[in-house]
Amino acid sequence: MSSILVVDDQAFTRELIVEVLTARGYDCVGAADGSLAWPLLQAGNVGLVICDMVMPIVDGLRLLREIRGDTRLRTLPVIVLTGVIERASIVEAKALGVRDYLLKNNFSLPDLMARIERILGAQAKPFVPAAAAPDAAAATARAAAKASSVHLPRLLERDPLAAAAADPDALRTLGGAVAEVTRLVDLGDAGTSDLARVIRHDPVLAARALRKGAHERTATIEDAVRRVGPVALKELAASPAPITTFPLGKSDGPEMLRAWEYRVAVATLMERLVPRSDKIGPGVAYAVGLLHDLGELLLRQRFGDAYRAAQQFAVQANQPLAAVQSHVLGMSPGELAAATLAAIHAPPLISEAVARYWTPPMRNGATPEAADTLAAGLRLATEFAHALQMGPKGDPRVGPVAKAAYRAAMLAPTDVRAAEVRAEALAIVAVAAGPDAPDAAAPPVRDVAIGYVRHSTFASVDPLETTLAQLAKAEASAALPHAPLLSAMAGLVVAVPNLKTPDFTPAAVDDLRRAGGKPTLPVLFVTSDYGDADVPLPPGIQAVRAPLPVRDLAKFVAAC
Amino acid sequence: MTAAPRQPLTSDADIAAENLAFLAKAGLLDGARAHFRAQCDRAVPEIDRALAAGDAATARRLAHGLRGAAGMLGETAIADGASAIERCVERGEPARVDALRAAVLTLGEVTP
Repeated sequence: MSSILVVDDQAFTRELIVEVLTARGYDCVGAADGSLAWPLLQAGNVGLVICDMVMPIVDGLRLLREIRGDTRLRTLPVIVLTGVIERASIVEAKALGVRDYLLKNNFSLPDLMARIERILGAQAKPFVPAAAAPDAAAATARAAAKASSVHLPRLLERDPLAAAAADPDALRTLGGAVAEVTRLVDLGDAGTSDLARVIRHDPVLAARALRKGAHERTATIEDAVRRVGPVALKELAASPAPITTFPLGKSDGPEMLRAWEYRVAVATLMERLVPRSDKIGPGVAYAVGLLHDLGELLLRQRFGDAYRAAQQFAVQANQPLAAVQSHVLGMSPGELAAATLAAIHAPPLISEAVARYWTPPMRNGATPEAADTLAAGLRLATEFAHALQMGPKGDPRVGPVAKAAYRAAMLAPTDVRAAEVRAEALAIVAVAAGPDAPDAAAPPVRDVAIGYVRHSTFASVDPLETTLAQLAKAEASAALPHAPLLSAMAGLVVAVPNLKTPDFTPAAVDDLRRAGGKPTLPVLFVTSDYGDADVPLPPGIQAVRAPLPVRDLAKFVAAC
Repeated sequence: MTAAPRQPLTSDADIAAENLAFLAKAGLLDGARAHFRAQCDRAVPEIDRALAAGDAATARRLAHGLRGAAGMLGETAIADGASAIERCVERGEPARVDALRAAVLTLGEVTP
């Protein structure tokens, strides 16, 4: 199912078109300019863009150029709907392959619908809310959606959410220690009194500093800071201390624990993936992992019903949670993260890295800055966390990583050992949360062997492999298996650049199946490039683009 | 670019009428008008402030957006008022929101 993305800074036009399209059964989202549209496009589920030309930050022509320059998006149909009548704009838009160029002062909604239907045909399907929901907010939302035939209702208004995000006191009560983490990282060269003042705000950190310094006859926080030293204090701050400050009620305790397990796992993975440098000091990568979605904690604690409803909608709509959240909760995760990090005065490098994680900059080929490396590491770390089934609900996606992209991001050559990371995160959170904390359920692993072939252009740091290993007995190899080995396999996953990759084509795999005496062996090709739509797929062989939804991979494994 | 699916309409009034009929049939007309009214209520004072502050870019952007929305719903007086401000700003001439504000005031009478 693909969606329609309406990019227009004029809220009236944008929201009217979104409403009209959703009332007609299309899955449709809006974005106020190109920079907000880009992460939605990168999520990979947009089938048509309706785009204005004159917009702040990233205008329509720049967005169009970026779309055409992206291998995954270059054939995406785009309709321009604008008030710009200058010939140069029309000519450039045409050169960039827009399907239609419509003028706002002379456009009819029925005409626009006809054009959209012609482009999409039956491709886009309506979103239908589920029949049951766990809480009142979801029930309300579902009723509203049903009553008005509108897909994803708005459950929160932007203003109160933005106000909550910008309130450092609210965040301090939410998790004071988290704020201290960032401050301590930022204050690496701060004096004793500065550090003491900072950690005195947080009883957990202060207690830990005193406890650590107790062996050295420490009496005051200043003494503790002086004796422990700033480096060790940073390590304390980047320890599970934040978790202990979060009240865990009976109802939301397990959910909050899972959220922290995810965060600690991402932070731990960040330490493995992002090399230290003169720009990226100790603790920075960990802090980025720990803080990258601070807004999610705010949503859980202050707007829990609405947030759970948004998660459910994401699952039902088969959409990334980030895209659904923007519409349903009024602020995108990126906007929320920026607001919360600003409220706690996070160091600029951390804020910038998190911003580039949520909204990847549209530039290719440039030498990555420290924030780019951190953002790239964060993308990979969160994929791994989802691969380990630790991430928030929604529609997480995973895929192999091209070696070239891995190198270009200047990430560390490492063995992630993701299963160890999971065990470590669970242990840390369990210790921090105390003896009454409920155990996390281990993801079910099917007792079947799935072959996994990963083309040599992909890195061995591979969230897809980790996902498969959580679902079944799977081991990666760089070559197709010998035919006799197929007898032990219930299925085969083949990750290749595209279906025309020499020696790894569907036809070659089909021949292998026959040679191995398993002509109906289920095979799933996972490809990263376009340009192979004309390659025929033999029966029993499917092909999907990476990153693919974890649930689709789970369905494939379940069917093997 | 692909060809239009049918002959273009002959006038702005025809297009607006078609849009209004389309929205009414979809049950979205009242909501669209309320939304438009809210946009007018926000935009006119903002345009006024921008003009007073000499912020031509903001004034032009807001007037441009209002003109497009008004045209879509057939609110020609508002579209004309917004368009006049756009033109003045583009030419560097002094602009006022009086006509636009007056047009917005009549909006409530047309769409109660």
